Amino acid sequence: MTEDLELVKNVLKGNIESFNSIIRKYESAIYRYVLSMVKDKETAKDIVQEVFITVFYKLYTYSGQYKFSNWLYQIARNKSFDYIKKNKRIVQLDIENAWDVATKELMPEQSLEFKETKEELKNFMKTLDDVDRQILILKGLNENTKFIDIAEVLKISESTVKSKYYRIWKKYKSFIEKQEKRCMI
Amino acid sequence: MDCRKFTKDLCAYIAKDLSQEAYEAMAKHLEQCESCKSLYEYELKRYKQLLSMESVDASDYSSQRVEILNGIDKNRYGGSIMSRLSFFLKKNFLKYAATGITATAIIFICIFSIGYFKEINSRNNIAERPNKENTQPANTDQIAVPPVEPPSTTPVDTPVQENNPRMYSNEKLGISFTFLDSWDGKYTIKESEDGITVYFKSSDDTLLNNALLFCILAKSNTNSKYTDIIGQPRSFSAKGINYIVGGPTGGFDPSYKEYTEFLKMHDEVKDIVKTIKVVSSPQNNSGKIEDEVFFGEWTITRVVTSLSAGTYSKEDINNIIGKKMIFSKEKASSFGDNLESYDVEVNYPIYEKTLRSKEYFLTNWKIGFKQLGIICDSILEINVKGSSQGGCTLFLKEDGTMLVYGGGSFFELKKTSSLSEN
Repeated sequence: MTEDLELVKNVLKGNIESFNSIIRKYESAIYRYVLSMVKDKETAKDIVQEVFITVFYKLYTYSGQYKFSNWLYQIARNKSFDYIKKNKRIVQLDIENAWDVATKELMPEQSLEFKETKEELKNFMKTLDDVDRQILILKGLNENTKFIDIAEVLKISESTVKSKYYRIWKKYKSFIEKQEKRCMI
Repeated sequence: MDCRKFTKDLCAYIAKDLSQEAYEAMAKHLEQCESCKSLYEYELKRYKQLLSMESVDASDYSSQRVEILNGIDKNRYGGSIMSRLSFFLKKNFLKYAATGITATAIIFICIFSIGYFKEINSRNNIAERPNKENTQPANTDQIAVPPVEPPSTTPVDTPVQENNPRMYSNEKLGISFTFLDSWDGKYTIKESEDGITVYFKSSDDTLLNNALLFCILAKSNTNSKYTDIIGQPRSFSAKGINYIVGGPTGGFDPSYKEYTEFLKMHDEVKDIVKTIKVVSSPQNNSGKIEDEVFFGEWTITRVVTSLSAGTYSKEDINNIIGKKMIFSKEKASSFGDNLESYDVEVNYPIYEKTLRSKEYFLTNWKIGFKQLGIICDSILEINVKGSSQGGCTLFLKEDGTMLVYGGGSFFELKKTSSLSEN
């Protein structure tokens, strides 16, 4: 965090190389975050550009109240939502891709079983609201992401994030258990 | 730690939602207990599966660093007094907000009290002399005196449209915009070959050059210090020349008595920038149509991009590339959704010009400027129309090329010759 503040201060002094370092440090994470929302690679790239250009011009308003990375995620979230709203696109989870990732580590026979649950998985994801999805996205971006960081990005309380997260987790476990029982019959 | 406690806290352990001490105790138990270890591995796998539901494949991402750096004004920070002042104020906002609110509240109470006592005093006076000067209102303080309209500071040679006295129009450059009512008498316009500059009109003439509100300057001649973004459009083309809309980079002394007024107007600049229009002047004083920058012979060179559904086959596109298009006062070529449309020639065409923003394209065409190779924030759309049939839609790009749309594709046009004046 101190390192980020130093970079911000240097940019505000006119050091463009520090802004270059900021891009290098966060570009990939912001892209993954944006892509998980807009689900279109080209659009996500454009939004990443917009995010960093906005960050540059609004850098003087960064108060240090939030972690710099959380501030970046907030801007990226707003830009992505703007795009979704403008284009009136209902961006839904690409269950095929998600399934591919989820089954990467499974054995072929397990994979087959899992395939059967694809429809149920779709139904499970449909039960999650926007905030639930955002929590999963942000938690999945980096294993060290803390609940307080997610709370800052989403501008909700840390306790809300935690209770929502554990509720999703519980729901998911009971869903999996149900699937496993069905496979055993 | 026992297995029961471990099982209870396992979910929090995986989510890294435990204190350092509790986390270490869990890790220690994990090393010692085989059954808890297999439970942990099972739960961890489920946890990863859950998070992967929303994960994306970003392995083929190529860095946008160059594009980002090209999209920013690298001199934004460092030398500007305004940016430093603004940064300082924002940084210390909370510190000063409380003081500011208290001071405002005290001033407000004082003003209110003075007004209240004045009113009581005035009523008492009227009650004391009911027969004197009763044609005058009882409380003159409450009568709103209409402000005297200050003389306009717009230079004499500035063309102002009669139907909207606040609309400024520069037909030579092909640019118009509308000032706010509240700006009357408070600004000065300077015109040059390269553009238009609007200054805050200070009572101290020596401050003029430091009181820049905004400017519209030909891009090639734009000094980098004028490149603060102040609203949309940021850049546009008029009569074939690219203009950049820039804002103040400071210089107006904050200690000066008119600084608050200057800041107020500075905040309102974006509302004026919004009204910028490209003025088409179809006729000059002699009644003749003026030459347009896009008049001439053009060649279709390539497909720039295509929308998801189109009417042209690959073979059609090959036939289209290399075709000539002509735009002049007397005639214009046509282009549309089928090859036959090209054969229609429009006599004495009408050229309707509209400035289109990036957002307009995204909303209406579902296409980004980047895909069309447009660097500016806006582009000039030219609708070529005939009296009955034919015509086409052109877009004049900043690099002197044009785009013509038809059959779901945007084709690039390059000028091959200018038509000579007869």
